[in-house]
Amino acid sequence: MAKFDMAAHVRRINSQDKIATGILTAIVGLVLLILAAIVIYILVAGAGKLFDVSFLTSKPQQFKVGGGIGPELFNSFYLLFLTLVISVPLSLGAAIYLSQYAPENWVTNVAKTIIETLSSLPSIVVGLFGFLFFVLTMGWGFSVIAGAVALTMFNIPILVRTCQQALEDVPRSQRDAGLAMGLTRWETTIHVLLPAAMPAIVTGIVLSAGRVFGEAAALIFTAGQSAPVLDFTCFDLSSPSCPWNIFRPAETLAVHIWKINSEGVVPDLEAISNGTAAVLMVCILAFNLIARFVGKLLERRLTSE
Amino acid sequence: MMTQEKPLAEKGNRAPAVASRAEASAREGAEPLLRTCDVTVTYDTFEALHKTSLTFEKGQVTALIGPSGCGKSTFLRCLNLMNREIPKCKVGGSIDYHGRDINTRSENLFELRKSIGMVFQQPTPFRKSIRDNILFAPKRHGLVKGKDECDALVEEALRAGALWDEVKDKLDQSAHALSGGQQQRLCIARTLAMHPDVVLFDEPCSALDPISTFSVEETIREIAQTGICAIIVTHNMEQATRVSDRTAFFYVGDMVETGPTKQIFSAPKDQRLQDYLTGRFG
Repeated sequence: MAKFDMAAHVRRINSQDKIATGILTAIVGLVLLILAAIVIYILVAGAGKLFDVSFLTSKPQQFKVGGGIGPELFNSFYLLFLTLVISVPLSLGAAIYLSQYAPENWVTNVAKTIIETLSSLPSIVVGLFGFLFFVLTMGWGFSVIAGAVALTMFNIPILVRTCQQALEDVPRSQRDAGLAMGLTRWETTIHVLLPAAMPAIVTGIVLSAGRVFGEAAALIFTAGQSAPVLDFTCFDLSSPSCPWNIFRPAETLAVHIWKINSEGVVPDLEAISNGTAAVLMVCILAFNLIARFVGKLLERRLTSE
Repeated sequence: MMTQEKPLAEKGNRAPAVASRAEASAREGAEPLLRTCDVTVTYDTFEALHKTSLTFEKGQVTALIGPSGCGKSTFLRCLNLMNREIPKCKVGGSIDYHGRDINTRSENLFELRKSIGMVFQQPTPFRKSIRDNILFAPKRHGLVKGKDECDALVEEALRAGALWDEVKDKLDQSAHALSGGQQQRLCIARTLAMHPDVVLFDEPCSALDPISTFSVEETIREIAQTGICAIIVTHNMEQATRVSDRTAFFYVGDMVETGPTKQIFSAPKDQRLQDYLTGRFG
């Protein structure tokens, strides 16, 4: 057996380490480059419209130059809000059950598998199901509520996963400590586990909001592709021009981009879709920053100060 | 006195056993606070703890020692019925507390755990302020009302946990900002705030440095002097000699030997205990 040469061995592992570091750095660099290129392209292409107040507030035009995205912008936020109002309580409830109460048996295993399957379901399938069931069978028509429920179906699996993970990441000893003080499982979950998991849950919710905000396929056949002119002074909930009416059609930013590119006839089509894309991206960027900020803030409030 | 009981089965049925136990304690002049009778713990089909019978008195510190996986923590978790939180875990035998068997389905876990407190291996302060850590459970149980009562309880509990002087100026700060030793003493104080008469310690110092360990040990001695029955699981044999009055040695699911701590360490009878003490295994 050859004598072990320590110096050669050290040289070899050092060079291996250098090569690995170099390759990984190059991969990360490439990924960053691609992402940065996309972001910069969209921002530069849409920059002209991004800071144009009349573009952000006025209604779109069918045939003339100079249409805006006012209703679409509002619709996107309104749909997001409704979606979160429906999906957050449901997801949190399911996550609490799955992480704290569910016995280890086939029923919960089936539930977990279904949630995982749903989370990778193509959103166009969710959209078409929503069209058949909510729009036609339930008779809601193309409406805000049909869109919000479709988005809820699209959002719940992800939210359940994040909330469940956040709750399971709280050390088991915290739960045991609560139970050992004679608290019920419910008291322990609500007063001990939930506050501890809150930063991760909030981050998860805001990140999922970004996904929902940019979703198009699930909405094309549920919330519809038309944006009635909204009158913010109208509070008649049955009027199609009332912004808060949940039974009016509501085209969102992402759907607007898809629609004007596939069937739009406006002359400044490219400028509008570039501008809309930039607005959409800035909003999602803002969600991500907010998620990080709020998460850190909660973390700090709950731990050190 | 803590003595190894004869298995119940030898006495035929339960009723005479209870009667004879009552006679026995009458002779000794005091009803033991907590007594286990042939307690077994089974995970699924694996018996992790074989019939274990021990008696615990007021004001006494009992150390449970033994190598890893010997069943000492499993036994400890029987005493406040924490094993019920583990799926497929079954506890057999009887656990008499204040003269009644608590190992029954009808036992109120939440009431029981108010008077049998537990401190864990890792400090487990909640993500709340120091004050709220103390008050959280007593408030949920309706033990305190009003600001004055709350403030009094916080001070009393923190004094009992030997933490008051260090934290009295920062009661509203997060408990997570405390050091590990302080966190552990906060957990002890939090347990004492419910005025338990038994406190279970599951290796309370294994995550702490020597100085914090010393202060936690001192706290355990002090609370025993107030009449609380303290039961401590430990890996550390020096700790057992420093802190306990009586010691029980566990080995592979058996409670092998028990007696006054001095006697256990100076004149062990069982070969396995002798081997353990001389470091031949474990």
